[in-house]
Amino acid sequence: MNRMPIGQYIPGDSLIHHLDARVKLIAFILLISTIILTDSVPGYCSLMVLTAGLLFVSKVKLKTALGFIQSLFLFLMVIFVMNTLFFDSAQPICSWWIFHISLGGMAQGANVVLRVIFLMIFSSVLMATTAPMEAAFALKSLLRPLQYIRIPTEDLAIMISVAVQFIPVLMEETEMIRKAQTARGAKFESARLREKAASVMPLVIPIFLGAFRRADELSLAMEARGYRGGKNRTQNKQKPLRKQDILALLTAAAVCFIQAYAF
Amino acid sequence: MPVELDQVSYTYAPGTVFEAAALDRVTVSIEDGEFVGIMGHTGCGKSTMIQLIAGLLVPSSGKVLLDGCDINDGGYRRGELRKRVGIVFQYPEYQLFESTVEKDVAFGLKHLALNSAEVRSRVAWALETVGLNYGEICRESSLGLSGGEKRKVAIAGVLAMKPQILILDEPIAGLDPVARDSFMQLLDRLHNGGTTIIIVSHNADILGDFTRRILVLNKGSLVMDGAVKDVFSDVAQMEALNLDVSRPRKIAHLLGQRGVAIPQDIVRYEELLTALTHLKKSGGLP
Amino acid sequence: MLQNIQLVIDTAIADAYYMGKILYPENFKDIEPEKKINANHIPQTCGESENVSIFCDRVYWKAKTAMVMRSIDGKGISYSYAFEGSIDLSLDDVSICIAQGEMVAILGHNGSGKSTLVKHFDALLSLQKGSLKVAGLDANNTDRIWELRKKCGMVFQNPDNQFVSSIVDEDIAFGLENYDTPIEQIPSKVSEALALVGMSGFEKKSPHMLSGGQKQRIALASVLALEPEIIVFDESTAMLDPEGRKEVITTIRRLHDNEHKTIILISHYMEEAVFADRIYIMKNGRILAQGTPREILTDQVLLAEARLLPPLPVRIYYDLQKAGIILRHCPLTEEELVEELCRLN
Repeated sequence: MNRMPIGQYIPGDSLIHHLDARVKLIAFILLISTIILTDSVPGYCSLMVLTAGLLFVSKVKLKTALGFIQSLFLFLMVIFVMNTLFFDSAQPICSWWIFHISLGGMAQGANVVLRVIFLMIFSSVLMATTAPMEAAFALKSLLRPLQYIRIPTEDLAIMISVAVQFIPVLMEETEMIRKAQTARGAKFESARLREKAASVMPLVIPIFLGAFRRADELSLAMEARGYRGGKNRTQNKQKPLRKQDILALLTAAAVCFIQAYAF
Repeated sequence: MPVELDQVSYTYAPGTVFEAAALDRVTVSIEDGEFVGIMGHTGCGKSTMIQLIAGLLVPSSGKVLLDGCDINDGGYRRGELRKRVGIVFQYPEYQLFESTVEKDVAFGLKHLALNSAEVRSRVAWALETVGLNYGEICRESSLGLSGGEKRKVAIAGVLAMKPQILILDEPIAGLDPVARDSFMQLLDRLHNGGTTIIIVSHNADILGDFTRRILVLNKGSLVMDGAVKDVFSDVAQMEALNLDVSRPRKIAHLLGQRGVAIPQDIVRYEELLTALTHLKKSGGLP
Repeated sequence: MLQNIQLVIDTAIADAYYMGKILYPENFKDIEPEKKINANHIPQTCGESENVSIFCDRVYWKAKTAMVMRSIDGKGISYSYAFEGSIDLSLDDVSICIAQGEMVAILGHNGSGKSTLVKHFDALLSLQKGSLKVAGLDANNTDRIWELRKKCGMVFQNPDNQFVSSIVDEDIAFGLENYDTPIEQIPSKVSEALALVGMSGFEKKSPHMLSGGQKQRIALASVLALEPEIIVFDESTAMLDPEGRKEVITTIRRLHDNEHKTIILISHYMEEAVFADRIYIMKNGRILAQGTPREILTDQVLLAEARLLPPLPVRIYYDLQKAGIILRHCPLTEEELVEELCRLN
């Protein structure tokens, strides 16, 4: 692993790190809605200022927040080009066959690409500042109302928690198996699609078996510690939101409101 | 076919907060037919080092040379490297995936352009070498075997490639004492057959009994490199690194501290025993 | 010389007696030490002080198991995994008895049935044949299975496969939540458990960032939080490096000495068994022998039969004997060996 995986939690002690994860999740949803509502140049400028502020406060490096660009570059280019070429516009700059290049199309392409970029930046910041467990916990408490329609949120929460904690272990194991099979001649490095496809089995089967074996052992350990499903368990009380959390939530709501109406 | 590391450094996750130097300017050369042990604390760079030798990682700087050729040079053929250098990871049994033992062992051979008779004879040889009966086991599912057998099959899969250099990462972890010993005997036989063996282990007794040379890594740097008895003779340094020396060596050290005139280059059990009998005869023991 | 030995024995008997009297007054009410065990029970061969120490160990254990306080009391346990066409018994008529507060090591080669046996102690396998009481609870009684699991905790082999959460304190709280512990008590219980394994201050760490030894200690803390009487270590040190192993063993010994937990240790490291009060040896699903470390670990024939190697000092003792050098006692640890060698004359 030469590069850091995208969406990695980076421990820190910024203001954003210390916020309640529920607030971060709600604020994130609000921000996404405003991104979707934005489509003017001043709107994007103000989003840019907002992003800069967020990066500054969260102490997340721009490089980390933009880490996804490399892997999404092609995708973004395709979106831009497709929009540019196919956007139906009354005043094309030039036309050829079914392609009409127009200013409107370019604007539309830029619009979509910018939205994706902002979306990715915001989610990078969210993931970089929120520990997976906290995110899982926040998700659980936001899902809590679902228990009234008989969805076992307590079991769901344990599932999420277990899954999240297994991620680093399984990633390490995957890496190890990939290397072991490479050393035996499996061609993951190969550019040929056929060879690449053939090399999937030696990777997938051991990973699945490993995951089953681990799950099996963990279930034994959980049982030994008295787990018998979501019933009869201590109910985690909702932690009340602190002043700064409420303040942050109000700020986010206000910013989104202004952003949505002003631009 | 010597292995050389020339000023090799490896940095994990460069440019991020997780950036860490896993290996820092290590220069070492391992000759043909050597039996080398690598010791060091968890996270000292042992795993990184053996993966660099096997060409599974690319150094951040420096060169890994096999027979004088840079294995990370564009012109170096990967297939050749895979054939020459075999690597057995920790808990190799977890990499098995085929429906039969025979197919699993033959997996690496697919890329070697051998005919089916050759493949079969290689598989049979590899299985017999690790102490399994080819005829009995080849049609079994590798997933239904016992833990110890699975590990043997996985190792046979690497041996079948007949690598000239065999690298093993903690191959005896989790084995019981008898299985541990018979596995080391197997490595010893391969070594006597001319294979270069590089073994990573925490077990100083095993390293003392079988290897000729020990490399000690600490925080990514090569801090000790020498004959087993020389490395183990520096008990203070090893203790400072929080590493064990072989137990016969430790006993000799303790006796020495008590004023017994026992040689301080004892590494193996037999050496300790001879020295003790000798001491008694010559009246050296109180 | 003989007088000294007599003194040692008397002291041992007195110790065993008073210990019993303090721990279990009701059982010792009517027993005078002379009536229970006296110096006549000394084996004939008591000329060698090694036998004396074996004897003392035995007196100690007898005094303990004579009482009803048994953490594990199993009789005639047999078990076979239901594979197609397989009738191999994984456990074959195993009887085992472990006193409260005892530290017992169960040794045996891979596949000898040790893990299968201890899984019964936590009701992770249900009893097929025989009887078993764990902390006074019948392992067959499915109604009280959760109570039993609270009394008997278990630390497993793979440090990575025991965590339910990627935050240490949440993981430790998991067991407590399962037993509906009032939420306001949880933080204090978590920090107590962490203190017991010497890892205070690790509450907010992620287990994956810790070393193997630390992971196992967190797993142990998770078990300790439920305040069990018995803790089973199912090869918990097998996947650790020497340093991690030392950490875990030191912690286990501290729990035994200071917290008086009943400890059951499965291992194939002989060096770990040296510190146990008693050792069971298993082979092919049966119990081959049981006794004090001194009795078991110095018995070369027995260990060879069980496919185990004696501790290094014991091997040296016998090999020196072959070469005509007789040490007075058979040493179990390296330090003891050096001591013996230095006192050879």
